[in-house]
Amino acid sequence: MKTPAPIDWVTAQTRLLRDPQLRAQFRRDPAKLARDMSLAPTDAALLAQLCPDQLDAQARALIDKRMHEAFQLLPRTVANLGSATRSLFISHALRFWPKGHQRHASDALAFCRSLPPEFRRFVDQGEVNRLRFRLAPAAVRFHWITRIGRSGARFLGVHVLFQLRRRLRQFQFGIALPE
Amino acid sequence: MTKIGMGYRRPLHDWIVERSDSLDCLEVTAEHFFGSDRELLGQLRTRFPLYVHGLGLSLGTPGPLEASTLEQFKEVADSADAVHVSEHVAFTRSGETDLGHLNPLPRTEVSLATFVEHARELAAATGRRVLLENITTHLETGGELSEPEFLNRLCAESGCALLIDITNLHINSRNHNFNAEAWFDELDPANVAQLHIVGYDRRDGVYHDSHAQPIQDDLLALAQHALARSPVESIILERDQRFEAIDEIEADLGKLRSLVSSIERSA
Repeated sequence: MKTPAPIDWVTAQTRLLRDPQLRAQFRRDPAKLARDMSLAPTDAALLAQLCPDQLDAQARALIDKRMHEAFQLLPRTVANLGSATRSLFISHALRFWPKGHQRHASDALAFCRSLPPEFRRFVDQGEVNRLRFRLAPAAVRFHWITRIGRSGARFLGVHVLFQLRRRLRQFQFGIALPE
Repeated sequence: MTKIGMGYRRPLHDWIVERSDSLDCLEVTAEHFFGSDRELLGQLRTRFPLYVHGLGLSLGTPGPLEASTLEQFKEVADSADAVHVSEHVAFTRSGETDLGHLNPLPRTEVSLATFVEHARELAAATGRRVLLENITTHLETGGELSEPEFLNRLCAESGCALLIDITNLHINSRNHNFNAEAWFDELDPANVAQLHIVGYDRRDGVYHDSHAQPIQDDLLALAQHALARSPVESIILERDQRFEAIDEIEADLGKLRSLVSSIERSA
């Protein structure tokens, strides 16, 4: 069997924090997992002494912080999704780790795109447009909107976004469609 | 005289500008200005001394600092004409994954060497004094050094100073059952240059740093302990939620001002 390449402490701890299955293995046999990760002996000994409950708490805190930041950017979508939101976000968050200083916006947008088909109608298109504008700013941008509002009432319109004095400005216009 | 300031957040902009007489300084978050709003920094620096605080340099990650992040950090520090720059004794990413938030490292000679190297790299890149901040964590990572020993060595070997987050220290002391004042007393007092403070939350018996609450009395007592022992240059009130509660923010600034005055009168 091929021996895995040696890794540093930060890589090992990061893998544990992002992967619940690896944490479950750690809980069963910390010393074995530390050895299997090919850490330096002193790091392996320290890793094996980590408290599994504290690792879980730290991992939860990382997801909770991401969720808090993303939900601040998606208040209407979160309200539309209701009680399902948290479990949907956790499912997304375990598969996708955003990068860079725009990570909160990237995370929020990726969350919307990750939703299973039956939940996509709850996404507020205006919030998604704002995120796209934030991640790729332009002087002005137009988007079609085909749905708006918490109730999902049908609406056909245009969402205009632009920057003025360093702030995002926006307005929407259109017509409500008969149910 | 210890300065009293705020962490700059956009929802507070109008209030900060209107009430600039109640603030001696501002701390701006480097990443909030990456690639944008340098003009705003230029305006702020005409009114306040600015400190630039980083969240994502990941000083604990082995290897060189990420060049593009360091370059943007330097540009923000230059635009702000920063009095000093600060970051955390933590890592936020590995070579594989960006976890996005602060995580602890074991206090070993190996991780100390990484932090020393990166603190020097940050100081050299920005041409400014570096302050490093203690974090709050659910995870105890152990190591051969105590946290105060680790911080003392880090300052001695890198030339950096400390930004002690009073709230993080208090939260860790409650969640991990140690004496916060005794922890502080193990630090070399000359290294403590700045304090952070904001009220904590407590849920299900666990303390959290949600940056949303008014400063509690036990935090003020710990801040008083720190101020009485160290030449603290500035205290920054950090608030990241419930910006509408301006009365709470003003009351917190008043409490800090009174605390500093009482310490300086008795000195």
